[in-house]
Amino acid sequence: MIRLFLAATYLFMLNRFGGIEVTVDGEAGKVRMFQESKEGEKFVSMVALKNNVTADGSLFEIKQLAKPVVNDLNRHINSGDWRLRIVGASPALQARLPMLADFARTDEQFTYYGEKTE
Amino acid sequence: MSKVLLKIGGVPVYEDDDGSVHWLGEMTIDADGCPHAYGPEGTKPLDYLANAGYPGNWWGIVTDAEGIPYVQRTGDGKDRAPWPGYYLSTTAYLVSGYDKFDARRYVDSENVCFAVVPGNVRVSVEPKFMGCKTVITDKNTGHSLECSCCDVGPSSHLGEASMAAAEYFNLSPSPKTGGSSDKTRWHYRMWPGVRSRDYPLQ
Repeated sequence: MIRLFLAATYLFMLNRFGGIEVTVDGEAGKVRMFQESKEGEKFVSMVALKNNVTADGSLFEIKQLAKPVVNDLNRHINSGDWRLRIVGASPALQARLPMLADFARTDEQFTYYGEKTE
Repeated sequence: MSKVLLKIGGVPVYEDDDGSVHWLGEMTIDADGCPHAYGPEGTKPLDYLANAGYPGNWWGIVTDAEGIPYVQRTGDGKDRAPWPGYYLSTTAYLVSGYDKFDARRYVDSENVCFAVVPGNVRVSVEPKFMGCKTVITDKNTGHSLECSCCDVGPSSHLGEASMAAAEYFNLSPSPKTGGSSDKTRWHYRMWPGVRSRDYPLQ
C-alpha cells in the first residue's frame, strides 16, 4: 500500500492547561479538546474529521504562517506559526472549546495560533 | 540504559535504570506559590490571573468553600498573609503544618528554586515526584542547579521552573515575558522517590 500522506499533529493552547489538538492523516483526522488542572484532566472531548470537517459541518482550517504570531511570550498561549480557523463552528462544538485566556485573546473569532508538534 | 517513558509533542521523556526521569525542554516561568503572583483588579500581581485558572477551575489560587478566590487579609499577620489584598497562590507541593489559607503552605516561586513536572509524567511512574531530588542543567554553559520538584504543569509542555530558578540561570524571572524558549537548552532530571535536600517527599 502506498501512503500518500503523513500524519501531522498540531497543538493550539488556549490557556495554561487547556487547548485543542488536531491530528490529520490524509482525509481522516481527529480533534481533541482538553482541559486539565494540576490535579489532572478536567475534561476531554474528541471529534472526528473527514477532509477537515466534523459531522456537524464545522471546518478546521489549518494554515502555516510566514512568521509566528505571539500573544504570550512566556507560555506561548495562542501563539505560534500555525493558524487554526474553525469555520461554521456548531453550537455543540463551541460549547466544548476550552476557555481562551484573556491576555492572549485576539479580535479574530474561532481563530487560534499554535505549533505543529509531530 | 534509558527507555522512553512517553513522548510530549514528539519529544521523548526517558527513564533510566537508576529510576531517574529526564527530558529536554524550555524554561517557562511558573510564578505559583508566590504570594503576590495573582491578585484582583486594583492590585499589581506578577502574573496574569488567567494563568491561575478561571471561575470553576482555579488551579493556581486558594478558593473558599463556594469556589471564590480567597484574598489575603491584613489582620492575618505578615507570615500568614504577606501580601494583603492579593490572592493566595498555590503549588502542588503543600508544606505541612500550615492550613490552606496560610501562605507558608505553598512553595514561594520567587524565593525557592524548583522545577515543574508535567501532569502525565507525574502519573507515569509509581514513586512520588513532589519534593523529589531534581537537577536542571543549562546545556549551553554546563551549569547545573540541584533543587526540588514542587509543582505540576500541563501534560503538553516540557520545561518549567520557578522564578528563583530562572534567576539562578540569569534569565528574566517574569512570568509574563521571562524564561527561555529554547527547547533544547534545558535538561531536567528528576529522581521520583528520592527526597530533595529541602523538602520531604509527598
